[in-house]
Amino acid sequence: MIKIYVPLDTTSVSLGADEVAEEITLLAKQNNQDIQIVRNGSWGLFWLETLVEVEVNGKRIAYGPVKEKDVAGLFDADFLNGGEHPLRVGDITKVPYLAKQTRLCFKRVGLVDPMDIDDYIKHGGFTALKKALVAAPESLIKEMEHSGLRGRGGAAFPSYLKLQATKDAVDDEKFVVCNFDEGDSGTFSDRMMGEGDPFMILEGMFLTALAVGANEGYIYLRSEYPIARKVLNNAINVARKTGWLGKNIQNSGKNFDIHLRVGAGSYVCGEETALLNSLEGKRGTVRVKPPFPVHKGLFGKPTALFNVISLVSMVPIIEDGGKAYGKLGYGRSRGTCPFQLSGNIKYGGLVELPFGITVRDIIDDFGGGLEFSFDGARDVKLVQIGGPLGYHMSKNDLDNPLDYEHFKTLGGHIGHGGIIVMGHDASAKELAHFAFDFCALESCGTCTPCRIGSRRGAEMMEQIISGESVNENIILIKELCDTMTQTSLCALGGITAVPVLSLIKNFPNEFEDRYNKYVRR
Amino acid sequence: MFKEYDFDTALKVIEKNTHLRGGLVETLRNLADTFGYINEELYPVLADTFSQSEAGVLGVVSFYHDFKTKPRAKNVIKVCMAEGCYARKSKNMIKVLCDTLETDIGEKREDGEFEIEEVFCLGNCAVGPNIVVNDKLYAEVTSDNVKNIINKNCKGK
Repeated sequence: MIKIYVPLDTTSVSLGADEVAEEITLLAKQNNQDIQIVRNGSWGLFWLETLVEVEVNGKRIAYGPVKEKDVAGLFDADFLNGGEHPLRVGDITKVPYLAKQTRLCFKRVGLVDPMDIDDYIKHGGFTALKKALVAAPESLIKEMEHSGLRGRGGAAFPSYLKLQATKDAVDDEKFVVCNFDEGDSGTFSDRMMGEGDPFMILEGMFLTALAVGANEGYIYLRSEYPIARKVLNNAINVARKTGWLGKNIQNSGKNFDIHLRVGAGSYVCGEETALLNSLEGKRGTVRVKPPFPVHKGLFGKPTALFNVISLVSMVPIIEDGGKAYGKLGYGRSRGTCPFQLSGNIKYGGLVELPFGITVRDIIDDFGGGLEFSFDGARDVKLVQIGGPLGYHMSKNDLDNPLDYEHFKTLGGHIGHGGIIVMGHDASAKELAHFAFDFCALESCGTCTPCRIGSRRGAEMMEQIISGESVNENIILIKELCDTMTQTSLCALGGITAVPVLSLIKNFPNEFEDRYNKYVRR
Repeated sequence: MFKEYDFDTALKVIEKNTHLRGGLVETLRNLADTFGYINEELYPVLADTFSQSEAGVLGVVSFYHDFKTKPRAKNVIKVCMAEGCYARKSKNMIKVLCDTLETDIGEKREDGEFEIEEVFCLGNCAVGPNIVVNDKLYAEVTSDNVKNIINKNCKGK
């Protein structure tokens, strides 16, 4: 029997992977070939999707991008034996895009069958968990401290401090919550992880539970990810059946179970306290901190709440030790970060690298430059880093390294590692308007600066776009940004100023008062 | 795509979730997945089941973008308005989409055939612009091919 891998990843499916898999099954039947189709995760080289891999003599030969209409040609070229074909890529791991990466979190995504727990174990899964089951909680937290791991969801808070505080909190019940509400535009690492290697998320949550002494965990998944929902549901069920979740796990005497909950299209529910409210079945409004979730979180109990990538990062840390993980990175940003490259770029995809690579290197070396030109201009105009509320840099800033502290001095943040490249058709004014508008739409309404400020900001941006009192409005907007930053309850209102101010700073000629410049004088 | 709403089926959906801790959002999620919207005659039942006021239930329903209170159109098209798709020239495509369906973003056409819903990021940013037609996600949608995708996947016209 010949094994053929066709990804079930959202991106692959949106490009026709389901149809390709059906066509392969059909043609194999007609040709009397005994095949087995495995739906794996995506390797994250999205311009090659749908990427079909065939296992020949224990080695995987890749072909891509395969469309439904190419399948017959592949059979003619004898692709089941690795035959030559214009779409033949060969060994996918030798492609420079992948070979140049340091994949710790994503080491199994693309490689394994995400529905099969045995495949996970065969590829080193649960090694960290087996260690942790017999280790003292303190030693787990010590490893996290050595690793220098900081929250990958955006806030970059040292993970070991969160673990320690939850562990130290005294209560009859504690929770682990996985924040899978990946709402930032231009980010898809959580989704790929959920679809490509769901057991690693469960393992990360279990490690956290062992460190803090929790027996129950919740995954809060956003509703826009139906495939991840299916894969995670299966993973939880399989793990329960095989004794990796539930009571007395692997005869260790430890209990841990995970529940999957799906959100309802609210961006602000990615904020930790709004997420907790939503999990409790309430409106997803932001809570006033303190008390922090580590003391009073889900259902008022101590809760260790981490983003998906933070949780999976804990797995290699426990496996190989915190010090090994901490050797990678730059400055105070330790370890690797899965950066997500998208927008107007030739080779969009997932690039997991240690912190410290410059934006230019990631765009040129990996992204391969712009895909669409504008009036013949093929250079980058603008790069948005860290989602809709992230920093917007011009091409003069591209030599900045991706590092938490560096971006802080710029006035931005790396956020969830999303990098959106834009060409000259992007308008700074439109993007600034979008930032306010988005904040207005997604504001939970708890605090005034965010609820009202975002509306007023959007109105002022509309005036600027139509050329009304431009200079006066810009002065007001800067004041408004200051107020929102200083007084908003959470990061939504608190960092809406980041895109607006960075756009005004980096693209001043777009915010010029053209009318006054040419007429009044 | 969605089932025709009826009270008994709705009750069964609610019953399945009564044991959940803080399960109101999850129950509404399941109701929305089943019928496409939350019928207001369910508010008293939900209020009873999850020990709160009807106003409290309405508060939760109205907070989340996914919870609609009116029956959906026959064909629901979700279109990504976020920057990942904007960078890949979604603007022109969205205009063509609205013109083709003779309706606007966030609106349901009068005859109930089509509805365009705005969403922010489908996590498919590397290959945008993205739209979802009746639960099926399409990537690389341009002003040229958007009509074809709609014609292929939608009943009615």
